[in-house]
Amino acid sequence: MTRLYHLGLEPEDVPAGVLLVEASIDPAPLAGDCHLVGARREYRCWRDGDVLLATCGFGAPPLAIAVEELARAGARRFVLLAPYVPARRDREVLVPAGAVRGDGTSAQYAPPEYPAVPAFVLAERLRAGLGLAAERAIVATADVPAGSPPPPGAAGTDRSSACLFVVGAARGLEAASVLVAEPSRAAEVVDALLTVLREERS
Amino acid sequence: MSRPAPEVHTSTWRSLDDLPGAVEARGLRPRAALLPGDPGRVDRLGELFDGPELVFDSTPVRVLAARLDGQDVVVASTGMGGPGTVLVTEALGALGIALFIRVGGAGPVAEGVANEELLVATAAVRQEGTSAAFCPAGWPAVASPHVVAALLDGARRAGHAARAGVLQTKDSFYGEVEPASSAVEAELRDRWSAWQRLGVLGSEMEAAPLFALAMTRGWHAGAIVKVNDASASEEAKWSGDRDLCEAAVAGLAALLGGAS
Repeated sequence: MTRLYHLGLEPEDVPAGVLLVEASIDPAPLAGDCHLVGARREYRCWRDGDVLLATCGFGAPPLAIAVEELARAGARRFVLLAPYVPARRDREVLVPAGAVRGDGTSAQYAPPEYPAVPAFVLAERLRAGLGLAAERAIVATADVPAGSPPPPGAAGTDRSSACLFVVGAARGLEAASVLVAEPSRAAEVVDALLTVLREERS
Repeated sequence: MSRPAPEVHTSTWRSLDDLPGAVEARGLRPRAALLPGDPGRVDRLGELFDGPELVFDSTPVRVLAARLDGQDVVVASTGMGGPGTVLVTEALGALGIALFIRVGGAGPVAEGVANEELLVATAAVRQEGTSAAFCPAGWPAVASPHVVAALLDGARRAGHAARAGVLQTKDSFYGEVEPASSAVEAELRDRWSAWQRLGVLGSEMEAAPLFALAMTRGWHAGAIVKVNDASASEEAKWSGDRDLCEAAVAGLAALLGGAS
């Protein structure tokens, strides 16, 4: 297998677990001293032991490309760390149980009636690892969240969760997202996410 | 293994909110922006300007400020897709820039479109989600006619053939190049067949949102792309790229009134 077309990685640099980091979050504090294995287009990739930490640009289109290419190289578990705008100010971290499909990318993977939901067990483990209560929170995904008021009852708005969930389902992958209201505090949750990604699939 | 494609290793993360200030802090008043998707194309375009200066570099947004015929311009990468294109264009619009030209790659759609051919968009198919934030369904995403004319003229002045027509903007790269892998394969193939029958020239991921945003804000916008065969390697993608960059810069010069 040749290098990944957009990410430029060698397939042997891709492990089973991947932490995807949206471009609105500074990846440097998350990557620490980890080895940079690729830097092309929006994709800067570090190897942290048996997990790959990869930036994935802004929104759904480049996220889908990253998931597709990493899955072809053998990645099976994906956690997206991305910002969101919460409907309630006190909810700083959200692990959505589903997403409104207001993005364009997921429509090119599944009919609009198909539900965008994360891998249930992975999302549960992330909530447990972050000390969050189980809840059925729905995030509203849109390509331009500021131009798309969320439907009543949504926990907030983001750019990518719906796409990640649908592409994950379409490709038989485990995928979930962790959304933070304050991108500068992403480093506070990263250890918990890496721990979950390293757990063996039961 | 050699890596002839441009790499970006020096990027230091900054918030896009800082982009306008980073340009203004240099005392620059840019009037126009070239918008490649790939940060690797920023430097290739920069080679064609006087005194390019890196003013912002936060993956995937790499911004050079430069002079063209005595006027300030910027070259700024948006990353792939509509969401990033809108974020970067809005940030540059806050500087007072009102002329945006996308410079990128596209896959061939209609029969007879050749690899490495240059295409100038007159309008774009809105098979994507971003433009819906700016225009109702059915509203056409149209380039500014004088930008189209200038890009065609620029290509001719630079000694390169280019043709004008409609591009298709989509959100899923793999939905285009490997429709058989999609659960909605029939729909994707049906649409693709329609675009071919309608003479759509190229398939890419940014033009429709750019045009929709520009129409909403009263800005001028256009796009020039080079056809790439998606089965070719990432390295092969850069073949013929100089022609694309020369045509884009010549078109921009014409728009700024400096064409000789």
